[in-house]
Amino acid sequence: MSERVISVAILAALIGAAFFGKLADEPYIITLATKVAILGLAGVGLNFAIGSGGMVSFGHAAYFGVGGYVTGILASTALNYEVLTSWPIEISGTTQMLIHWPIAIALSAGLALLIGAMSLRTSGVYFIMITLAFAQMIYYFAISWPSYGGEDGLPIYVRSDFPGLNTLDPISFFGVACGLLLAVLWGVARLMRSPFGLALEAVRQNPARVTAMGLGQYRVQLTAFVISGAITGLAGALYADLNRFVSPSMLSWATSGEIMIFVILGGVGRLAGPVAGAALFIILEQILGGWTEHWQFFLGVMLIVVVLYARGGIVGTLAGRRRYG
Amino acid sequence: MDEPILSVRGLRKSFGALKATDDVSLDLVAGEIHALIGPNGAGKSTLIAQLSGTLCPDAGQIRFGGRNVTELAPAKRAALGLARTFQVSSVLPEFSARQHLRLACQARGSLGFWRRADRFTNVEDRADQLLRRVGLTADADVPATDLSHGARRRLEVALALAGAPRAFLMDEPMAGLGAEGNADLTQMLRTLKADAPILLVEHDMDAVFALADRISVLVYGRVIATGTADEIRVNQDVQEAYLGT
Repeated sequence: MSERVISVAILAALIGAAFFGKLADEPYIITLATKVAILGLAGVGLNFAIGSGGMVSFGHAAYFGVGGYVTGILASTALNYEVLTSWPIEISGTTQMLIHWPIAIALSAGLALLIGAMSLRTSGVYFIMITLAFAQMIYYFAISWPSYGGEDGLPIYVRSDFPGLNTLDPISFFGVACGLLLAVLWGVARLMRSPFGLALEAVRQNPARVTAMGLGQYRVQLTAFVISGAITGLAGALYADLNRFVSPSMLSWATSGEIMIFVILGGVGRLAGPVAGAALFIILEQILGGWTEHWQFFLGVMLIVVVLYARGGIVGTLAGRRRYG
Repeated sequence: MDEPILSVRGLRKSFGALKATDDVSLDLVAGEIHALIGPNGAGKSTLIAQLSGTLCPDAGQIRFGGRNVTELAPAKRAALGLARTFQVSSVLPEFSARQHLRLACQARGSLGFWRRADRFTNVEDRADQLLRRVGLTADADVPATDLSHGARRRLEVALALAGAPRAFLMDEPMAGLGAEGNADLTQMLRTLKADAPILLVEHDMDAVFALADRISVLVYGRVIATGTADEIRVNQDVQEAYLGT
């Protein structure tokens, strides 16, 4: 089976699940499908760094959380009729998703630029550790910042607005999340076939060769890292709206680990892999979690099996060796 | 003689007490193959590393194309046209030869984010032309990991050509090739010097004496002689230090 067919099947299954939920009048299923779409989107962002760029970031919760707090802070300020700041000009909050998203993207991209610029001077296990350290700094900052809930988090009483849609209707919000996921997947696929994508794949395979071609590896990787952080930040903005709540747990290292689990389960470097990984994660959580609260034990076993015997994850096992367009 | 394209003056590099490069000066002028020979441990690889920029010299100067590049990063030197091949083939295992060339031909411009990499007709034409030149047309779409050793060597040459080179640094291009591959590559290098001069580090003495216009002999980090093949053959110091053994 070609990877393209598998990608389409994964996305069709996701959309199918949501419509099944609509027809069967089971809004909970739609919410789960929305969660898969959003977490999958976060994974697509991380996968761009790990799978395409060879940068194993263990701190992507930072971008996810920053995206979440953008939505949380803007929306809750607006809902409480407060102002964000009154100096130098008065800025008030907003409940418009179309304003939340660009700000979430810009802030998480800026943060990824800052963190990436420093972290990319290292590699291997040092890179993993330094990205984790930066994310932990932001986590503790959020915990100790009382204006926006601190440790207790920040509720958003009403889900943010999208022009022309009632976002409180689960299927509408699924449409928004899934539409964004599809758009980002299309963009990433396009990017990977561009000269930049070619260079990024090349840097991952053999940096010395790329240097000898006259191309600086640092610039290529940093650009990719920023794009990766921006995608995960966008997912964070949606996730806050899904839960109507943000808390520092979005920024915790456990979140970084979960996003990485989506990538590994689904298939590192596979376009739709993180969506499949997130779906498997949610399904396990629902089925096993109803049976025992220690369901993550089975997740761990599954991860070990994937890492030892099926390195390509779900998509890689089905599609075989990667091909480059 | 024209101004040399690559010129090294008083280069020094020590590792502790070991002088790996000891006051080395040499020139590479247009149209020549300048071979660098020397016994194992003479400091050839250290010198190449300093020329390509992966190692920083302790003292001395490297000028390339009339510009001081002593402190310049490796990628920037390559972008200026200093093309290198590696002692151990350095390719992108998952990419085909055509994809290598596609990237190499675009690497020096600004990289596009949107248009498909294989839709740039001038790049595709150039890649085809280079594949033909090194005889890789038939294997153009095979991943590099499945290419034979000789084919990878030729791919490296094509990649060096792709970057509009002004000088080649070749670190033992013949290493590990059989007699036939060796003869092929010797022939290819001979045509290559019309594109740009070659600084050739090589162990294969037959190839060196067949190809080189000038030879420099490096022993314990020092250049003990520079001259034509005939001059080097009869040079007393060289015989004692190297060829005589």
